[in-house]
Amino acid sequence: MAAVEERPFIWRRPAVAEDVSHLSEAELMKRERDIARKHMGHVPWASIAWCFANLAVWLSLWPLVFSGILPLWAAFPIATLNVMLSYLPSHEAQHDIIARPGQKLRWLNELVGHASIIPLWLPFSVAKLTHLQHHKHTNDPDLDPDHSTHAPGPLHAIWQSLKNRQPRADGGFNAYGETLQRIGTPQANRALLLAVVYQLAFFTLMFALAWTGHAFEALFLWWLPRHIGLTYIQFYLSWAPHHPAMNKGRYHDTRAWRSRFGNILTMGMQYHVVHHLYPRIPLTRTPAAYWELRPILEARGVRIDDL
Amino acid sequence: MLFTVIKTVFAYGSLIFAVGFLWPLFAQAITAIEWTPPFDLSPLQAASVPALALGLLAQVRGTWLWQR
Repeated sequence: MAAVEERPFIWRRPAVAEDVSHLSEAELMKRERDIARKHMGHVPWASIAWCFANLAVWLSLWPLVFSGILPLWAAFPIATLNVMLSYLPSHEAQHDIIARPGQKLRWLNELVGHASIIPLWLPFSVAKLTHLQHHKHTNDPDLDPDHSTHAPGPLHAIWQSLKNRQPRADGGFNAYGETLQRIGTPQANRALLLAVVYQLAFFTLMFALAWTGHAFEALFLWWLPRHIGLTYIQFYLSWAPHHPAMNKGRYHDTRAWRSRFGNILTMGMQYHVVHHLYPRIPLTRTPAAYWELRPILEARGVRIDDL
Repeated sequence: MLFTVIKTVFAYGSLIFAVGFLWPLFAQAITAIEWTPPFDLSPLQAASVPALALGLLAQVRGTWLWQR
């Protein structure tokens, strides 16, 4: 354990891969857990700042556009970026990475969880409950609420994401509703009710804006950015890391992969396998954790695509 | 009662979206591009045609996309 702790963080692929072939099953597990433990328990201040900065920018677009300071064509790509960036800080909170129940910063964890996804307009409780089901049942066609993003290729994945958002679709947010009903706890029922309230509130706002002469603002500051953002989020957070989404099991339901768009544009999802193995490792530490864990992951038979 | 209202709203969501959002959106688009609708129709009257047609189509087909 001491040897692992003393090693500096490895942010890139080491020149020489560590040989773990001589390690027993128990030793491999111990090594894996020791590495993971080193990356857990840190407050992800970058994600917290990201949450509030992103929300502040998106909220400020509204008065800036309505007062004529910022043209709508310029605000539209910013709003789209805001929606794309809105999910991940909340994702950290969904896994109690900022603070666990009873800890001093618990209030901040919950605040980030709720505030971050305002542009996406998804209730935190819905996101959290369904996401934990995704972790529990990854790639299970019947129980994984995100399995509807399964598609044979990238273009199909984008098309599938759009199809999942249609009124009578089986997947997407409709699958979230079914998942909450299946969970059936009072907490899940409350989340379901909140989802309905959120939906009604969203469309009431859209309609009010449209009928008061602000349809373009509603379209380009929220409705369209939300759809583009959802497509992007579902592509990189759900489809890409689990593709081909056929296998189940701790070391087989998620892959490591290299994207031609790099780590930032894919929102760190190249290393998503680390998140599924150890969900309490903050996003910004998953690359370092991955490079340390890589020989072990390889020994475990994790699918590693060029990374 | 409230549950019935909500169920109805969601059941007719596509049509409601067409009336609530697409109609005024199309009307404002007609005004923005300075298009004069035929038959002396106002932009709001003219916008009702594509908005309601699309809404009805989506309502019947269960999708806004050309392919199900």
